[in-house]
Amino acid sequence: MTHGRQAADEHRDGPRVEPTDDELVRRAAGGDHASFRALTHRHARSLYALALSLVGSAADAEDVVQETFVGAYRGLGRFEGRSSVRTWLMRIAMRQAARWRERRPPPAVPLEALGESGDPVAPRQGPAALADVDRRIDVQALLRRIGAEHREVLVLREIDGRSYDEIAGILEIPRGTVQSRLFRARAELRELLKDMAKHERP
Amino acid sequence: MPEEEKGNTVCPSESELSAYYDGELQGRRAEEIAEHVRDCAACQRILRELGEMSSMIGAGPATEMPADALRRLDRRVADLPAMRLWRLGVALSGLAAAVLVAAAPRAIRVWRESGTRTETAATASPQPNAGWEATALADASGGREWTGWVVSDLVKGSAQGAGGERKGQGVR
Repeated sequence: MTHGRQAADEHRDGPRVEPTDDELVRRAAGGDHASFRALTHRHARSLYALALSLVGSAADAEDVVQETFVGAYRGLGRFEGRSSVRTWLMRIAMRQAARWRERRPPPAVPLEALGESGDPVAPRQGPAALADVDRRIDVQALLRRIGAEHREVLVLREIDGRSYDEIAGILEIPRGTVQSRLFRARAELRELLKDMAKHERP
Repeated sequence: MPEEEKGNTVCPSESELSAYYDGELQGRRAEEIAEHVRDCAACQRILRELGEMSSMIGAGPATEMPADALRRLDRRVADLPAMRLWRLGVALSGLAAAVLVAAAPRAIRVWRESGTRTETAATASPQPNAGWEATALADASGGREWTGWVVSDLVKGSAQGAGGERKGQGVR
């Protein structure tokens, strides 16, 4: 849409309202390439953050995001609106990340190395069983040590802040499975952190 | 795992506690757990650990998509073929696949006939009947049997030298 036409629309209809995701998808499926690009701009950053947590490297995350939008473009005609566009895109991104991990499994990072990264980190908080992990931790490397299924739910919940119902929709699993998988993921993370604490002790 | 009893309530499972921590339990059960947790040091410790882990993961590195990555994505999306061309491509691919599938039985028959002519009476194996191709393609066990025939013939073909080459021509 040109600026002139935008201005004309605003003049006629009042302030221009951004089209919804569903509207953009509908237009894109009808051949409006600009609408698909707008959809890309709207969701690229959040999908990149998700992909980065899942695959661990910036270059791989970029590839996952690109393949996600190519996959979405291919599937435009099949999108039925049963889930939100964002959920649909996240579902494609999760699949792409899983394929990426199969093709390029991340190198195993030794426990001792998890705290040696220069990346931003989480300081210890509070006196609990995890208190011994008293140093800066490379969160991405830590997540890479967790099993793929567990990492997916952890990332969706803890980083992306999704509800159980949303996670169930994205991963296409029952809500009860989300709860149990998340519990096991946290147990795995806790064990990992305790192992780290053991490694740190002199 | 907290399994002790506090007052009149038993500790919830860790899975349930995890869901409670996430605010995913509602109604009476959420109230019961809240009441229980107030007096239960074990459950309080687990909830504190869950909070620590959330802080730890949430404090990961900044995940802003770099500007050059955004530009590359935009270029990739801009280069995607127009939807009409894309659909045409998909349709043509489908058509090509359909033609291949339709032509396959005849191509196989020609190839089989060509191979049969090279066999001697002494080395000949039992031959499939005229309708074997359809059966072989129709069910999986037939498919495996067919694969066995092909392997068997290829082995014979390579042993027979010229015969193998003629089979190759038959495939083409």
